[in-house]
Amino acid sequence: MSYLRIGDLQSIRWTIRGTSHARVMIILAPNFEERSTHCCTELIELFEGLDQDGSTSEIHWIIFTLQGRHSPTFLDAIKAVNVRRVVQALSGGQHRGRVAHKIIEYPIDPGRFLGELALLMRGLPCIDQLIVDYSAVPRNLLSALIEEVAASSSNRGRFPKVRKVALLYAWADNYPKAAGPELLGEVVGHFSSLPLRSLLEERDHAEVVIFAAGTTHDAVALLEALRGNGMGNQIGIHLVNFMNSDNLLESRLKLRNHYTILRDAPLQGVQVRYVFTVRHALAYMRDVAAICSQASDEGLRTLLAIGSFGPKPLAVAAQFVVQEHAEQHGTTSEVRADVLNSRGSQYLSPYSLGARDITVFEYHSTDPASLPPLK
Amino acid sequence: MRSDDPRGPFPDYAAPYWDDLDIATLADEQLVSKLHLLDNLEVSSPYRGTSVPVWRRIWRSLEWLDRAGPLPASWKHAALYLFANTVYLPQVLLNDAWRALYLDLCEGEFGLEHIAARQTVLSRCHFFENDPNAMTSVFCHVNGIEGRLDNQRQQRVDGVDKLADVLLDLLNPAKSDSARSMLATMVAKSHWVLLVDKSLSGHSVVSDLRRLILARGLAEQSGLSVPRIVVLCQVLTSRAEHSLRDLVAELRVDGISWHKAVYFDDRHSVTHPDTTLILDPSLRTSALELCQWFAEHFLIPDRRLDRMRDRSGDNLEYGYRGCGLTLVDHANCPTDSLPIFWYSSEPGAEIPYAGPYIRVHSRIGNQSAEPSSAKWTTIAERPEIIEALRR
Repeated sequence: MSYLRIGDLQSIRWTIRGTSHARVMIILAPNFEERSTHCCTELIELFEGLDQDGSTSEIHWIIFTLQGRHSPTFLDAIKAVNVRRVVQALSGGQHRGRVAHKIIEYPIDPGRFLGELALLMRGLPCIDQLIVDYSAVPRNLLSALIEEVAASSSNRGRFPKVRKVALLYAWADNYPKAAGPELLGEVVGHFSSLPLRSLLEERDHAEVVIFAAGTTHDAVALLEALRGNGMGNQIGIHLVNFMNSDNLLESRLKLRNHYTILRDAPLQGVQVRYVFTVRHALAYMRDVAAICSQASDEGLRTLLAIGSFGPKPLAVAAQFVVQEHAEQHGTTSEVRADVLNSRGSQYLSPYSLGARDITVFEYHSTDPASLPPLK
Repeated sequence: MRSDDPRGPFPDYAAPYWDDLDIATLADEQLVSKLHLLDNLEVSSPYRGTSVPVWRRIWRSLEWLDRAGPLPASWKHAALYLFANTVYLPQVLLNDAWRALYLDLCEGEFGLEHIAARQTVLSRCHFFENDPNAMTSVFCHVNGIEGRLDNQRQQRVDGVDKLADVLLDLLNPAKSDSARSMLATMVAKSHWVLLVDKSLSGHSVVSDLRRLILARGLAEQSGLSVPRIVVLCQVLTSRAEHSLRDLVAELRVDGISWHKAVYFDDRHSVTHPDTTLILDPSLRTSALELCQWFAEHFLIPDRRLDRMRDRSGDNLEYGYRGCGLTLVDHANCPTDSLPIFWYSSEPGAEIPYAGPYIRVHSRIGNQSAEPSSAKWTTIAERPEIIEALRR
């Protein structure tokens, strides 16, 4: 049974130090955002002095650059500078391990993307610690990567067996006043590719969580899809506002953008709730999944759907919660679970400015009860 | 509207300052979405249960200002922009904040998954409240923690003032056994948790934390175990956080940590150079000038505010200790927010005014003595308390 929890950078160092000849694989994907190089800087600092500690770790860095098929654009120039900075930082200092850089044409089929990564991992019998900085990894590729890592943990994937996974996300310091990215296309389930209305078909009970941190259009579209569902008390709809403790100003801006839903949603029986940290969001989603599980245990045909709009760590948490739920109940037609997202996006500005804290998810492919304490 | 009204249609908006509103500034400052959000948040969680919509209350406050004297139109506009920048915290948000803080306590402090921790949290922690007001009860209810009123789990010592009483009882032969027993149960806990609803100036929480550290030090000197102190703040400002850091640095103590849910950095204070509440510099200047004028005309003549003014060390023009906040929660408006938000003149005042978020004061009158402070001074000066604890 897989399990996700909030970790920290120091525990990664302890893992490496505590493993004899630890094989460490780090995947970075710098793009045009300043924060996309932040994890690299922090990791270099984290690994300083590992050799002096008597650790005999073997560190492999994979840097991939997603490159559009069309003519180069201005954003490519900023991205190129960031990639060069990362590569130079890794090759400049003392022992940094092996560094591989790969340019990957984008958009790319997720299966091909995983194949490219698997090629770069070839020759490694196993990975003791995989570290993925997903700050600038597109959601569809990130989802595929997470699934592959889960499969590889049980020797079913293309990657070497992965023992521990840390997923890193560098939060932006702030966001420009210019227009943010726009999500494109219909909102559909990541696993099923079905819209919410179809997912609701033949369900006796449903729990739908919608994070209102993305575009108002997506949140409203999902609420519209739920209108007139005819499920009465057998549907729980949760509109969750992410009030980031570290950036209240940005969160309040998102809240303002959703002011109409905040008024209308309670009138439609929607619970309007607030979460303050990624840990809180993860717990909230798990609590909702538990409601669904209870309904499933009572013999009802259920749906758990999470619209994880907003910061990417919420999307990662949502995917893991859905996977946990599916693993718990098996893939029968009685239990349906999916993560809802838009099909694509377009950038209207560099999107974010600066970098601040890093959120770390630790992913384990074991039962939570067997895990070591958090601290 | 009466058709024969000489002011024409919509007399509510006949005052000249409504004509002068600059639409471009209004758009740049996102006035519309800010005011609409306020309206909508109050639909499900109205301020102090009022049935008067927030826009109506804001309009009324602007009208009071208009009648208060010949003010520049820019000041009245500034008042509108200040009101639009209200950070309104509905009840459900504050309950969810306790949930987030509980998760931080379980996973961040105990290293335990929160559902498993639920069974043991009361045997691990003693809960104190900063300004006791039933926070422990809400915290336990929101997080499904059972047994709050079981004496063997949680002694009835809900605040530092009560803790002072129990420590002083050690010196009273008639009460010392009972006090020792209560304190022994409390220091046997691995964590003392201080629940704080709002720490804005930082004054109150620092005072409580200083006293808890003193009490913990007495326990340590008595050879008893030393609980870790964790402060859980629903709302914290960067200023209050600096005060906490300064205290820990000053006392050079370990085993102190704090967690917050809603965090107001400097950008949320209208008086701070980094403020982003009002972007237009001239409008911001007008807002500050308005606050100063307001203090001179309403606050300084009002003797009911003497005690608060004294403790604040200023004329309260930007709220208690110059915090300059625009924070309001569903139950009350803190004094750390700008007084034009919460001030209400005395009935029959020559120049009346009522802010959109009239405050219910928890302390009225002019008492200056601080009984709790005196108790802690006594405790610090009586080393026999250590001996009494040791017995």
